[in-house]
Amino acid sequence: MQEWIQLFIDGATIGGVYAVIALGYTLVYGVLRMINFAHGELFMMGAFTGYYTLNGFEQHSNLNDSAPELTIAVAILLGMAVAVVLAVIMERVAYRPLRRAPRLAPLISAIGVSIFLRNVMLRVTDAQAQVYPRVFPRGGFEFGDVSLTYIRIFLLSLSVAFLVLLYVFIQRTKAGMAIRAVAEDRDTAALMGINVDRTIVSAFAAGAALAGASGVVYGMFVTNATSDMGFIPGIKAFTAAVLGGIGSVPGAVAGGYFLGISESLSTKVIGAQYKDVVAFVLLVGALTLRPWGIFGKREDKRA
Amino acid sequence: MDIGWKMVRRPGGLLLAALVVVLMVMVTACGGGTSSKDKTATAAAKGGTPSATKAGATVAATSGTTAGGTITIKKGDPIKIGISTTLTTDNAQLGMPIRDAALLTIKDKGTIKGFAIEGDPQDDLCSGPGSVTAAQKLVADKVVAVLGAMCSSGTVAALDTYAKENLLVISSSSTAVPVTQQGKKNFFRTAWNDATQGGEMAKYALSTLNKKNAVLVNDQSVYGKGLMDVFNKSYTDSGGKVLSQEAVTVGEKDFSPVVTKIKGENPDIVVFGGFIAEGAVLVRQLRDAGVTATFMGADGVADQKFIDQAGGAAEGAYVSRGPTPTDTTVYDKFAKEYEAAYNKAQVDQFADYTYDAVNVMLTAIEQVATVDGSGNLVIDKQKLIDAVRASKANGASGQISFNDVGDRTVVGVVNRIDQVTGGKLVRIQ
Repeated sequence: MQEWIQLFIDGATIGGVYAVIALGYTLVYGVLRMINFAHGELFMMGAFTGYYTLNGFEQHSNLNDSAPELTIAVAILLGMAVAVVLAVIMERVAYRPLRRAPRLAPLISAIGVSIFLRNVMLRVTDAQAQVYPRVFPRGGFEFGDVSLTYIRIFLLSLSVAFLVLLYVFIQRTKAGMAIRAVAEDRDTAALMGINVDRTIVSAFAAGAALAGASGVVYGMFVTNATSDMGFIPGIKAFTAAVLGGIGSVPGAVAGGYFLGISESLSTKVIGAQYKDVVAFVLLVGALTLRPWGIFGKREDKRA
Repeated sequence: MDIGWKMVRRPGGLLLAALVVVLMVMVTACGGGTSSKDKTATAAAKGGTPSATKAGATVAATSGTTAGGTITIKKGDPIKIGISTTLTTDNAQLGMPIRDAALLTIKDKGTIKGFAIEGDPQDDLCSGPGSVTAAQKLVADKVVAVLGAMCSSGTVAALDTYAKENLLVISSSSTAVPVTQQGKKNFFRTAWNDATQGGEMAKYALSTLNKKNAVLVNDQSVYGKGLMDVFNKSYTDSGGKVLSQEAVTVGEKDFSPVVTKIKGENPDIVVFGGFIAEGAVLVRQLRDAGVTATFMGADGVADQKFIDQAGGAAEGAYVSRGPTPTDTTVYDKFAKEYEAAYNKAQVDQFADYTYDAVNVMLTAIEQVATVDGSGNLVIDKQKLIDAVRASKANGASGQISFNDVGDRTVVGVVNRIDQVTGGKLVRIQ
């Protein structure tokens, strides 16, 4: 039983990461009807920014020991900033020129951006994994054989905090209202005086901030950063977003947790080698049986 | 639920996106699959390789492949040596040193019969499909011989493409058992067959370390899975008990569920078949979760980078390699040169095997190459392969000679085991 609980915790932790990345997919899909496949790379760039920041503190000061909460906060904020800047550039250079192009074009462009960013970091790091300094306090709570480490608690609460923040952003701010309006109907929103371009950028930026921050925290959790690290979480988060109903904010979160926990429990039931099979069977199943997802609402085709 | 929670009316284009995901996963992540790679290789062979030989079409004046199985290099052109290794993804940390060692060896050789030698590195992604693509590129580039592929998954898949051209292939790092079971007469390897290594690891774990209960973890590659299968058989036959066989996904960083399972099994030893990136993360997460079982890795992690990336967690771990010579004269000479050339603190894993592979290759080319009347260099492909089969050399990785299937024959060497002590690999056997 304790092993099941531990697997559940393991799954919820990675599920929280999937959920936060999935929010970015959902936001961009909401305004552009486009899957930004380079989103996982924003997560990766966040993780590298976190590494360089924390390593910089480690090399040039003793702040990592005396004030870890400060260095971690700085790392997360910088991770968010770098991801946001990249996302804005990405949108301007790779996606905006293709706004009126056939649907496949921005999709391929996104894959190009993804490959580009991965290879930039591959060259920068000479393909070496960069090891995070130990900044986050180790240890945690033990209940028998079940352990709940501090970093897991941090990761879990962060994903919940992000959901709340994003809710406030979308529901209570002007920019959020504009995003909703553009998602509803881009042309009408433009007629009502909403700056569509700026709104699309703000959706990219919001998603990127989440990806960048979770990259830093994930980097601290797995303790290293590599150029490939955004790929699999990115694909899994896309799966989570589809499972939850792409375009739906709570759907992305629910899909993320559902996927993470299913994967984790499946290692006990059918073996770890089939973990990815479980994820992609869920994806195919969702697309076949319920393409509108858990939280998306079924819409009949208009006549 | 109000409108803000549901921003999208019609989830259009999703199937398209999902299709792209499936394609991306197939191309990037699934290099290790045994079933897909055979198909890929066959499909590639059927598709026809760019410079497939045609009977009777001998044009002596142009560089390239001709009917009699000879390669003619025009006066002034370089002799091209193909290098199929992994230059992107996490496994580039193993692949780039292989390229570097090969280029260094080529530079050392200088020229053959007045012809310059040129390395032609191609990224093989450590995967079946990637290695087949690299093979097609190298065949099109009209290389004389090929070093590679880096990973066993890739070599197994790409051998068909090379065999069709009767092109000499020597791998310095593909260790899996199936590699030399393909019945390809153009293939050799300076890397040791895992049949030896897996058995020696099992013997060491059981007899020397006295660990009776093991959990085996592999990375689902031809190499990692194959090595663990050999270990499993040998270990079980000698009375050890394998509690479970686990697998991790290449490219992932969070192995918590596997770690939780291992913790539940409570083994004496955890044995890993795979490469540096996953091995380092695995040992670190095992230690973080409080698993104190002995950790044992193989030649895929036998590198300082494994220790560095594990951030201290690799201390005390055992690392096996293939048989290693007791006489290290050639090795030391190469090590000095390699470390100086690339400003490295130590020789990277597989660099010494690469040095030997390329040397054997170049020596054989020198033996069989002849300069014809017009000053072109002519190399008979079959003679080149025969020359490698007959070669006897004293290399950095020991005495080199090959058997019928292209595996090395063991001459006076023992399986090497290192233990991580004080953050370094220290040889204990």
